[in-house]
Amino acid sequence: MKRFGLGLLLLFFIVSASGQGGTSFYHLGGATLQSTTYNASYFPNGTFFIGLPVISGVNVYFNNQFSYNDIIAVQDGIKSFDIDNLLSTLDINNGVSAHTNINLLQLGYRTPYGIGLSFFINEKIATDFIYSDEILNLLWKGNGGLIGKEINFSALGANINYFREIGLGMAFETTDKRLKLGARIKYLQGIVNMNTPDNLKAVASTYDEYYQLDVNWQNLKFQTAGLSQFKDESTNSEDVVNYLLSNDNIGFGLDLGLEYRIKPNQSISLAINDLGFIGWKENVQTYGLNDTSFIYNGVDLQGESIIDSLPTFSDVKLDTTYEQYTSLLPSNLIGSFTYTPFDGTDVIATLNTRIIKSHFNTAFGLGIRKKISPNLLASATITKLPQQFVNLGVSFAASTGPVQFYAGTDKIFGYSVPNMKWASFQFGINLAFGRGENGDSKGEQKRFFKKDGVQNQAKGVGTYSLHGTKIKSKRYESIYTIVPIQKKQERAGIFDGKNRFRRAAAMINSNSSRANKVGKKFKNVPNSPNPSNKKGKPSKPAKLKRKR
Amino acid sequence: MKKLYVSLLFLTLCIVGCNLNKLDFDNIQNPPYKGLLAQPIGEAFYTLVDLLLDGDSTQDIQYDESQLIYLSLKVQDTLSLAKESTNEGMDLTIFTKQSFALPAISIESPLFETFESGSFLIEKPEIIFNFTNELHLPTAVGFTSFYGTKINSDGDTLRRELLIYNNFYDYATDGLIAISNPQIGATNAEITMITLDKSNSDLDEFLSWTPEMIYIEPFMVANPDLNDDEILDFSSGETSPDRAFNEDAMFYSGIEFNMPLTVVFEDLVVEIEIDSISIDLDLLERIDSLEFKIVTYNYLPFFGTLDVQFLSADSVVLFTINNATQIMAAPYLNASYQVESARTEEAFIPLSAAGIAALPNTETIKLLFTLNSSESGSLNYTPLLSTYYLDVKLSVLVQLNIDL
Repeated sequence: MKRFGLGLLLLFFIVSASGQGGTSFYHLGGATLQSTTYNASYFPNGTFFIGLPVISGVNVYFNNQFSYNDIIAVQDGIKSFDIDNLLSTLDINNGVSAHTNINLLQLGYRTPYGIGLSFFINEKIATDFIYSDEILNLLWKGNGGLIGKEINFSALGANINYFREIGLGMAFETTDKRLKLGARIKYLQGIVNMNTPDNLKAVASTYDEYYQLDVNWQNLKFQTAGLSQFKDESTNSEDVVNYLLSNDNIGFGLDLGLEYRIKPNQSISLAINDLGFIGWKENVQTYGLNDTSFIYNGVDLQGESIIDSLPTFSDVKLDTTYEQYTSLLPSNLIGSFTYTPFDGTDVIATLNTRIIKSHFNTAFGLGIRKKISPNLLASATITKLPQQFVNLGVSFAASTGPVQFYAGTDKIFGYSVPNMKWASFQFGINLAFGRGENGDSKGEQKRFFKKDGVQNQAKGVGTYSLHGTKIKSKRYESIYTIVPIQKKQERAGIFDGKNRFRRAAAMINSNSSRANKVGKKFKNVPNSPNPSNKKGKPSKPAKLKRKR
Repeated sequence: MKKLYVSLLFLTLCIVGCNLNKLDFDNIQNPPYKGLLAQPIGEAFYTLVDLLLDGDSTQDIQYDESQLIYLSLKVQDTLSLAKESTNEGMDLTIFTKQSFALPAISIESPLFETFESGSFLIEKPEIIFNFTNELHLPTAVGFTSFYGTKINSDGDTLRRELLIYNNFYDYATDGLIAISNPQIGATNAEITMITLDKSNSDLDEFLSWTPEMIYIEPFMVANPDLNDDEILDFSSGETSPDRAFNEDAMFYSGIEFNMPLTVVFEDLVVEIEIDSISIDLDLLERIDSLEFKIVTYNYLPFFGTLDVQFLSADSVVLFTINNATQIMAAPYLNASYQVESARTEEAFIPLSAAGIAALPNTETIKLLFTLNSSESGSLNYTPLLSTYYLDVKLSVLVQLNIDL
């Protein structure tokens, strides 16, 4: 029993599934090529990217309802399993998830038309195990406290998935830069799977009348694939290698993402990841009980022996079959809202849901993203993961030359090993080429300059850029951008004859500026009737006209 | 500077919260398993006939059209008087008071063997004797004895006499009832019916004593009208003979009754045995507490309480649960005494430590229902219909304590 308890504990600590960690990293937006994993429409600035094997991306996520200290009690120096305390820590529905994602290769290229293309190979281990507190209560406390209640074992499910994904991604942005769209198509090579069917139904009840036991189940199966490849002694290492490289366990997956700018300083993002399946055909073994339903009423007290008349379960058989099956990937929904109060600063609220066996596990994040310098982007996020208390996460992406280093975690506090319930971190190094000095890609810079004189929607809505110089805007009203009043000498210096377009005007009509191509470096036409174009004669700043 | 302070504060919080102790999985003790398990034991369905009547009895149970239960019996003996009198050393040609024994009657009660104790009163108990007499002599019958027996819980046989009142007799001093006889020369037989009921005996009390066997030892008396030692002699011709001994005369005696079971129950104890309790001994030694739950669906017109006995293989009572609480309430009856709806009662009976200790040696659990016709003890006679029944469902709630 001790081994059983220990094994159970270790299982809970080790087993896991992917997805809901990395909210802080997600809040970096499209800073890295790995960002496309979260939202397929995210594509970093730059022209060409290389993600080196393994070091380009290691992503680990682990989440459990309880910690070592929740299950181990120490009294008078004696340690013992405290199952009652464990049960008290459980929610109605609980889960254990552990996901690891290792980039084997990742390439990215932004075409001259701004379309981002990516190719990636990832090794993924995703383990999800869900259970309800009622099930553990039933096992540990017996059915005596659950009389009259229906215990739904359908809330019990497992999906342990080891697979490789090979995919192509594409992301692009509409010409008005309001909408980004992206998709990733993935070929999946399944290696190991242990799965309970999604249509598992199992219910147990103890009737209030006189404790009759009502039990029925359908599709009570445990499907496995690939296990025998590793445990069968007759399988040699060459076979294992061949199996790892290629086998008939094939599936397909799809990631879809978008980002839509509602207002100049507000945008929403939505991503649906891991829509897909794997058809398991090779090394498949399914263990299951045939569908059964019975009510045990005790025995006939007028003659039969109790023991003799206990149900023999003769109709219940444990079968092993070798039929192929299909497992769905645990899909992941991420939605976020971004508000940009200041230039280079974004506030982001994110809702991140992972669908595990038809159960929605939702995480929340509220964070701030700050462009600290042209080569350093950082985020800080308050995270609330399923089953966990809030914590603080931080992430950053830094570049020096073509080397980009990134790291992130959703958890800063609480690194106490005995109390550890969850962890989420990722880090890696990419090579990124074709990035501008500000970290923008050349193509991005070109498009950015075309917009000179209007709000920089991509890099901080709170910024107004006039004639190549950034000034902070105070707010927007209708078609107007309101900027602080500039100092006289600065205003005077705008057309001081030396730096013709050095400083922005104090108040600008945005639409007018766009329509009049304000800020565009047009040629000086000597015969122009407009005196403002004449060298040495400063123009008067345009006055703000308020519409009421 | 502010940023520095904030950074230092964060760093401090992180460090304070860190604990990099290794997880120690050695020498962890397992807690005892204390699961509370609820499980049905079983169900028993008893009709009223099952409850009241001895299954081994050969007596017939009759029902009328309303399913009212009758106890019926009909026994007939034939006696050749000449032969019997010769065997008894009598000479019926001499007209003097002479008696000889009629065949004894033993009645196995179809009711009472199932009752542990208590009593019930039948509203109209009747035992009818019939005699068919061909003898041309004045005849009377009497009872040498009329008693019942039953075996008590100690195995002793108890005996109770039926008390017959004087008004039953025609010859009270002799304890005789006259039997009609045909006149001299007549060829017919005279039939006499004698009814024994609670007007001329304590038959209701006698039956409420719940005898398992009833023994009747009748005797016949010829010339009961004569005084002892008196001999009539008609040879002088002074008087006409009013009697004669016809040697071929036969005498038929019989007993018959049809008792409708309209009764009052008073603490009548009915037992139900649950046999062959086979529970894992290891498991029994790991029980912290145990509670029986008994659910009764009562279609019987009685109130009831319950005692439970644990019996060993040789029927020794190891433990008794005396439970005074009522676990059966009488259902509502309509004008035809049909049950309109059952009364459902639940009883939770926790078992003491002594009871739990007795379980390993328990072979049989006996449920003893004590039935009463009314809660107040009033004499409300209720007809017993064969449609009445009792449904008993037994379950158990066990708290285990198992070292893992």
